[in-house]
Amino acid sequence: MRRSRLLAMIGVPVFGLLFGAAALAVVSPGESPPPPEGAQPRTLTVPGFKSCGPVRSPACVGIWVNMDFYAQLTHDASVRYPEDLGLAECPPPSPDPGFAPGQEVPDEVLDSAPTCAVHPRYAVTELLMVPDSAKSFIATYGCGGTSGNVCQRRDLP
Amino acid sequence: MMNRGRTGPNSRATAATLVICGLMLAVWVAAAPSALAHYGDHTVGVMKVNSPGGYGTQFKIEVLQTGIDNFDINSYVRARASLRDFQNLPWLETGWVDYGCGGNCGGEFPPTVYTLKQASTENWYPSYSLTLGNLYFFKVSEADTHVDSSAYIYYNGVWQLLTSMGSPQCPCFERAGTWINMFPIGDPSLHPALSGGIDFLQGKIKKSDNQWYQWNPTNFPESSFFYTNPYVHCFETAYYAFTVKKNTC
Repeated sequence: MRRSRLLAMIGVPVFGLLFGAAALAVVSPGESPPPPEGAQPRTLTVPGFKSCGPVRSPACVGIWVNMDFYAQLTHDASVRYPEDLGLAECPPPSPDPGFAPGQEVPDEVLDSAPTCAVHPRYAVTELLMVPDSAKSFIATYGCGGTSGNVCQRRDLP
Repeated sequence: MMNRGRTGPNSRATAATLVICGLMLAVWVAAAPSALAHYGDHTVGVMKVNSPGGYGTQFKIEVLQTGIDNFDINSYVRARASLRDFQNLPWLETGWVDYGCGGNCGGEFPPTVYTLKQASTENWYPSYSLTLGNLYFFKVSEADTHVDSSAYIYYNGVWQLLTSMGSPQCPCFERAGTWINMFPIGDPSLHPALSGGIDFLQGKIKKSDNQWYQWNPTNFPESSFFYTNPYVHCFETAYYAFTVKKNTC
C-alpha cells in the first residue's frame, strides 16, 4: 500500500514533466510560443450613431471616412495635423515603384530626417455601426457606404 | 456498488493520478493548437525579448498579393514593423495589409499601407500605391524628444510621417514580421500560400543615442524569433534579413 502511494507520488511528477516537455516540443520546436498579438481592432465611434463590432459581420456595417472628417465630427484631439507636428504637409503622393528585389539602399539615404507629415485626409478608417445607424449616417452625410465613397471634410448640415 | 466514503489509498492514488493526467492533457490540448486544432491567428517574425532596449525599428518589406482575397472579410495578412511599449504590449505599427473580401474584391483595396495604434485604431492610406513584388521601407520609432512616437513610410524619396501618438515610454520592445489572421478557422492547407514568401530586409533598431543599428545577434543579443504553423521564416542573416513563407523554406 505504501509502495503504491510512493510510486504514485514519484510517478505523477515525473510523468508530468515528460508530458509537459512533449507538449512544448509539439507547440514550437526549438523556441517559445509566439506572444499574443492583441485584440481585433475596435472601431472608432461617432456621437449619435451606435457602433458595433469588434469584427465586421452582417450585424455591423462599415462606414468609410477619412480621419479629417472624423476629427471634424468628433473633435478628437488625437487626430494630428502636420502643423501640430511641426512638419510641412506631404504633397499628394505620386506613384512610387519602391525598391526592386536585390536593390540595396545606402544607409545615408535612410538616416535622413522625415521632411513632412501626411494630412489626415489621406488616412481612411472604417467605422462599424449597427445597420440602422449606418443607414442614418449615409443618409445624413451622403457618403461612407463604400470604400469608393469615403467621407471627407465638408460643410456639415 | 462502490462506496466513495471508503475508497482505499490505492484507489485514491490511482484516481489522483488520473485526475492530474487529465488536467495535464487539458493543458496540453489548450497549449498545442497546431497539434489538435487549428486557430486563426498566425504570426511569424523577429522580436526583442527579455528586456527592452530599443527606441524603434525599420524594415524594407516586400509587397505581395497574398491570395487572401477569397477569404472572409475579417481575414487579413499584415506585414509590418512594430513598436511595443515597456510592458511588451502593442503600441504602434505600420506596413501593408491585404484583406479578404469574401471573393468579391470589386470595391476593396489591394495591399494597402496601414497604421495601427495599440491594436485598436487602424488607418489605411490608399493614395500610397504599392508595386507588387517590390519593397518599401517602413519604420516606427519614439521621437528624439521622447514625447511622441510615429510611424513612417519612405516614399517619393523621403521619409513621410503617416501618424503619431504619445510616447510608449521607451526603452521598448521591437518586432517585425507577418500576422496572418484567418476566417473561417480550419484546415491549414487552405491558408494563403504567400506566393514565394514575403521578404523583410535591411532590418534596424534605433538605440537611445538616436542612431540606427543593424538588427543582428551582436548588436541585439536579446533578440529571438517566432512562428506559427503552417508558416515559417527563413533567415538570410539573423535578424536583419528573412523571408516569411508557408510550410518550408
